[in-house]
Amino acid sequence: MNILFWNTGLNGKRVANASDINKCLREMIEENNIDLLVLAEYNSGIQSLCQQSNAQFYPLFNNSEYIKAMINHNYSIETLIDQSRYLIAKITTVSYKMVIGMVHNASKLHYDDEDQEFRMQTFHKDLCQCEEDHNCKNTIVIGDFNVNPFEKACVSARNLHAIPFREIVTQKVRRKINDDYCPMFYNPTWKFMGKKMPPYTTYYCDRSGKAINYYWYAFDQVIVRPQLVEAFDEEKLAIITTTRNHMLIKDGKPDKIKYSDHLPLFCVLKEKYI
Amino acid sequence: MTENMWVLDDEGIPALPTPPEKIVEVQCNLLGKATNYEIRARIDSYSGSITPYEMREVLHDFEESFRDNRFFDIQEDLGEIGSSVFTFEFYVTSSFIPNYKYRIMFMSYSIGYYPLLVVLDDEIASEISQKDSAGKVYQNAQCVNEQQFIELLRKVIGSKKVRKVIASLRHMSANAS
Repeated sequence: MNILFWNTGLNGKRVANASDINKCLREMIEENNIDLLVLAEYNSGIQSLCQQSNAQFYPLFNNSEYIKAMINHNYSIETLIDQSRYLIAKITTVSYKMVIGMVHNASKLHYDDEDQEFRMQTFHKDLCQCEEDHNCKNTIVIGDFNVNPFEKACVSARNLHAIPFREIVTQKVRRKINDDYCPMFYNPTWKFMGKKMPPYTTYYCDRSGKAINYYWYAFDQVIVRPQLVEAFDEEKLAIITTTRNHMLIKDGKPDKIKYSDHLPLFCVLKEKYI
Repeated sequence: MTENMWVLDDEGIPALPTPPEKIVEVQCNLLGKATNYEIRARIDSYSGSITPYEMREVLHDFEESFRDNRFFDIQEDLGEIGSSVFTFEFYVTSSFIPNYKYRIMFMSYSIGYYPLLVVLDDEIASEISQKDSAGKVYQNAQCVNEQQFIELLRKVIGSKKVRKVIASLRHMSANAS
């Protein structure tokens, strides 16, 4: 299953970009054989995008203004939790079922670290409930977390508990903190932090004048439960910068004038291992 | 000394307000009736934290004695409101897609029901709450009495977001019929 996430930044203020972004999306879907497309800040009409894509897609039923998704008709998808900042759905095929969380966390522009951590905590609680209700730990979470992989919202056992080491996650699976069992995620997004060439991550922001300035932020992330680690194709995890007719970067950074201040994140699940 | 000193009748005791969850339950029943039970609203107990300020980490040495104490303050200018005892989630679902849930809000109170803390979904909060100059939306609302809560509930249920969710569920249900 090929999955693409993109924060398109079409949040009402940049409607003029919609045409280029939609054309780019259609090329991305085709060139990467996308099965599941998750979009944040996309208000251009997901139904229309489904119809214009060559493959047969249908939109995920949801009412969030922040997150939209569409999936290849070969898959059955059911919305479980429909909140403004996150969606949780169950994907079913003849051979497996999977839980997917799609997130667009609150931004650091308006919210502090505690707010962000709390929102991820609430999301994770809902996710765990869905896993229990549907007896499924084949779970993947993708989206704009609006935090870096090393921040508490990601790594804390009280929040996502997303660890960057495959072996530890697959062997330990969970940790006990004050009598609470805290399940883990594997976070492969850390690998972007050590890239040699730009774009280093999916989001660039020069916080000039601030004491702490990372320049590049790995806000867009994908994490998987231990049960999906084997199926997750690490080699294919990638940041998309071009399509046939579109160049999403300018001077090595996301071209936020013509497209978005975020770059798309692509990943693959090898279904035979699910 | 075996005299029973407890006075258990209600004489002279001010009437307690209606429990907030009962107020919401009435609305849940009304929604069911109005939609021929295709769309259901429910209010259930919730066991998680509902604000970022709820402290759950305790010193290991005092773990047993502090296990059930939860203290939080909503905003600095409102100060402490004491321990929260009862927490609920108010959500919408559909008999057509019974696994679907849209949570409208959390609510939480201590002894006496009020003040009542309400934590709204982002989009509802954005629609009916105030934003500060930086654009931050305040999800939390505090109701000091029953009347305030009823007014807030009216705004929440009548919000565009809630109406949109219900309309989309009804549309889906109608298409499937």
